[in-house]
Amino acid sequence: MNLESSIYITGDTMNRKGYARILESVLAGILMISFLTYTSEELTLEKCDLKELKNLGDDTLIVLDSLPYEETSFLYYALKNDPGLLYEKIGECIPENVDYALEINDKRYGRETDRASVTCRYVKIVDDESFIYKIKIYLWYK
Amino acid sequence: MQKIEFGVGFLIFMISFSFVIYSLLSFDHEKNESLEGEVLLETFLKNRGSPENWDSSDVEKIGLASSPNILDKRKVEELMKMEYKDVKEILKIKGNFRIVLDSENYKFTYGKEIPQQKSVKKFERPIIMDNELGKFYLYYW
Repeated sequence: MNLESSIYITGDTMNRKGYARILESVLAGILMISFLTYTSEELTLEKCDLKELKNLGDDTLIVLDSLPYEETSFLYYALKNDPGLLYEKIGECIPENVDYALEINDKRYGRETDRASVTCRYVKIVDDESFIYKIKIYLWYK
Repeated sequence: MQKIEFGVGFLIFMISFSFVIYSLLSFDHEKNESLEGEVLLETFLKNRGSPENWDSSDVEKIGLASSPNILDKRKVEELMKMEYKDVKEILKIKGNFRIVLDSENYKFTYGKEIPQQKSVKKFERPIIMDNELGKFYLYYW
């Protein structure tokens, strides 16, 4: 091997190493961007889903509040005598992929969850303000 | 040899870059759909429309509610009489929709057929119509 070819080989090896490093950096960059994009999408979607759940819960409370409240009405009977019936009624208002719990004056109906959930609150004042029902519903995806 | 390495590297880069851009664009599209769907849902379920007692011949703004989530059956029936393209024009929406009102005693559907291949955003809300608890479904794409 003469001096000229020895220099050529060294230069070629350097070039290859250089390209390999560039390629590594590019791939690492792409992987990082993809990961960040994926993570932020997931977080935003989760936020959107919880917002949708909150809207659903608020609308459920609006509908419950619109039900008639007289001595012969369902809501009157359920609140006074059997809140479990109200818990079942809420089941008619929410989608199948959503689970829920109801709380009336700190007594809970329905199960606990460790999933991300939203809480919607509402206070119903009845019988000339002598009764106050503090109603909460908790919603989460099954 | 170096040219091949560079070519392969460049190709990998372009594929990955296109994938990232495509994901970002499709995510944006999905977000827009969701937002427009929410606005449409609000229009149908929370507003009375204009004039307040509108019918299919004089409607300026569409709204089906007499109060939030309590729907006026007469307005729903008036909506059913209207042409889909006129409704879209009044609502000023880009996408397409289908609504379904469902309870024990009634079922109304209005709008375009739901496509199989496209991503369709579905919203589901409780409503009261004619003193009866029901459900309102909105499909938007």
